[in-house]
Amino acid sequence: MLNLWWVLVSSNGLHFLMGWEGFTLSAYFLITLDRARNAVRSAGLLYLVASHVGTMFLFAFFTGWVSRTGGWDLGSMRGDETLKPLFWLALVGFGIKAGVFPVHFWLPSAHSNAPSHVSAVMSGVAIKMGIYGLVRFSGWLPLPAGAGWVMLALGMVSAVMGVVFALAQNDYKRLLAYCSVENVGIIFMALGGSMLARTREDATWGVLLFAGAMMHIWNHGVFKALLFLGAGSVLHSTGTREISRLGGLWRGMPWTACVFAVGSAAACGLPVFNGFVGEWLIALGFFDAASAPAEPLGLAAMAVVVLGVSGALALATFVKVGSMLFLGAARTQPAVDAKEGGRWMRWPMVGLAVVCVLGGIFPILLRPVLLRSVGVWNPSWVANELEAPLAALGGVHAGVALLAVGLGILVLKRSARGGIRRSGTWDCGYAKPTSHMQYGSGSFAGVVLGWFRWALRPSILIRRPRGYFPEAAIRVEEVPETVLYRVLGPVLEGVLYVSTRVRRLQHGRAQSYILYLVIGILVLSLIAWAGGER
Amino acid sequence: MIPLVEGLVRLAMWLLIAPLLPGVINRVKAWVAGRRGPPVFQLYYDLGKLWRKGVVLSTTASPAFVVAPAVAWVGVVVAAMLMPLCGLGLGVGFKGDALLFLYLLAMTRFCTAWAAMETGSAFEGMGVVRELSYAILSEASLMTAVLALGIQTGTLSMAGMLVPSTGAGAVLLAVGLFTVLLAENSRVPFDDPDTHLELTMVHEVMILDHSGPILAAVLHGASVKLMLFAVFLIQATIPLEALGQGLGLVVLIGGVFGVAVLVGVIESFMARLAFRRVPLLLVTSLLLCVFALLVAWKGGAA
Repeated sequence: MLNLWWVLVSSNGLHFLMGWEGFTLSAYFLITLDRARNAVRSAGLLYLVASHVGTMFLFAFFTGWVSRTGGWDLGSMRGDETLKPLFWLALVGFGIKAGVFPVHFWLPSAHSNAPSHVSAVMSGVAIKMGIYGLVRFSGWLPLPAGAGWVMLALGMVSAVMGVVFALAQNDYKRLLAYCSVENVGIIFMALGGSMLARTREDATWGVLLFAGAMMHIWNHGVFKALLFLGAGSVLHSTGTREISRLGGLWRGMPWTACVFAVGSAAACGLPVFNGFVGEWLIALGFFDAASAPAEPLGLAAMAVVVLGVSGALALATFVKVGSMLFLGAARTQPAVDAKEGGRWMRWPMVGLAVVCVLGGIFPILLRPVLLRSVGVWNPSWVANELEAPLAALGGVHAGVALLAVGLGILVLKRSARGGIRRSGTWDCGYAKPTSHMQYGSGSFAGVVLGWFRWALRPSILIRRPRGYFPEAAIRVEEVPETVLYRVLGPVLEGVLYVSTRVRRLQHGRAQSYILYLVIGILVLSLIAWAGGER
Repeated sequence: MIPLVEGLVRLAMWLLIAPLLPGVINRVKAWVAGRRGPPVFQLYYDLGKLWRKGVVLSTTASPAFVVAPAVAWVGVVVAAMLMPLCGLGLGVGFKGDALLFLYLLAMTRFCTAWAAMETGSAFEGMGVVRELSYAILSEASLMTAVLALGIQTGTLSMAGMLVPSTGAGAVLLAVGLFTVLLAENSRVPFDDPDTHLELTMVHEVMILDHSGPILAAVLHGASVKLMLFAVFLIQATIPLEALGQGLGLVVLIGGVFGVAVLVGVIESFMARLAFRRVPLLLVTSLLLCVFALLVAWKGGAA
């Protein structure tokens, strides 16, 4: 973690790289704390390889920086047009770290296999380092013409695909990890938009988008850490990461259920919680971009709709994970026996949940910080105001919160007046419902997954019931990390295939080596001869 | 003082008129079928009766099952208060309240779905899945419609964007929004509010295990939501401002009841769609809203 701080404060490229590398390695050791399990080791390895591919791009980036500017010192280099292409190197290098679609493939397995408190920090803070790098260097570099468009497009794809993959998961930590991909996508969208604003020198929406991105980075850190801590507490007490094996946990773990509900609502960007404020700023920025009098931005209108759709998908995702874990009837014995963790597990979560609420009601307090970050990123926007009524929003939020609490108490009191009768779920007259009749994780996501089958490519195992007295029928549907297994996997296999073929040349027979030498000398002399002719 | 009075008047209008709409719809359906039908005020009687009744809870339900419908009700009513009523309530708006409006409705959906999952039944799970899945498409349509209105007027506050008419895109927007209204309020052809024992329902199936005051909150919230969509539809497509405030308000209320009659007529003459076809119809409404957006865009540029 010390390395993280080092990255943040370093003003020298070499120090930045050293800190970055140290931070990558320490994260690797944190992920593989539970080294005995095979899945953890392979997740750690995948993380390490992906991070180093990213670091390789960063090495290229810094080499370019040093050779063009003649020093390792970092600082604003906007005047230097030759630095423009370097942005693309930074985008790939930092993009892998941030986990934007389609280079997110390392993220779900790394975050789900790490211990939960580590995932909380990884998802809340570590992937933000990638975004930090991108923000930092996009502020210092001159931007190539397509930069904003590419960022915006990447963000939009990431925002939708991230959450669709999240909805498809049956492992709640993987689900949360994919949700991080979605939120990184939203942040990328906003950053891309503000880059476009910078090249067009339109401050009104640029400021809104950049402030929204900063706000969302912060908010996502809070609610995602909260959700991962909640997930960790569930994992600790039940020992399973499978959504379909849990249920009814609110009895044993009321605190966790409460804070998880708060975190879920914040992650869906619902009013009253902090998640909404960031998304609201971003949507306002895109709206202003789409209706800008001088040069309206068509893609921005689409971005607003994408925000809405990913919000609705996130809602389905979080209702799924929240209700499958905490509501209904327990599906297995560990879920029945689940107990709340200790004090030290509970209070950090409660604290984060309180921050989620306060962030929604008092966003106005963050305004000076946001404006200062805007000024640092683009000095020509220093004087601009944040044209969003944060105070009014906070007021409505406070009103909604008060009304909700008041009405909630009223209805509770009113219902409890004559004493509440308890009976089994009526459900139009089921005689004896069992916990296995509940909607499961796969059936919950079924409708939406049907729409996205072309992208998800699930692997399905079916054994249909046969005969008059059928045996057990099976249907197992699993959505793998599609980019990794269906795109990257075949490519890497191809590379492996070619390289094993090439390796046959090296077999230790001296005769053949002499033949290679002779052929090599002949070819060389042919080349020399041809060159001599000319 | 005046804004306070105005606010109270609007609140009263929302809370008191809303339960009339389902009554009107049922009356129209009865009239078309040649029955006498329930009284127009039936929902008021039902609400009063439910509020006095006791509650039966499922053994699996947590206290959130009772609180969630109340929070859902708050979401709808606050959203309604953000909506100006033909010149009334223009003062409370601020930039971006249209987005808040949409997200408050999402909050209501979250609470309803959460409460339905409390019962742990296959039946209610099915309703939740359908509701949330279709909501993805109708959310996209609504967002596009709001954008179309906003781009044409250059403002993102409800008060600013609803007052003028939308001109050429109005017809597209009207059809698109009306389809979304049917979907979001679970009317035919998306859902059949009359059936109670078929595996074909969306909204009704989510509230099977609600009873007493909880059910009252759900039913009243649903009627406010119906009125909300009707008011939005009328104000987005008919230039009420030209009529002046008094006449405009009368036309608005007339229009809302007109929408209710139309819903009733559609329900009498159409069957519910097969579930496979529902997404198609929703995508159609999305496309209509997208075209309205394009019209708004071109209108702004020209």
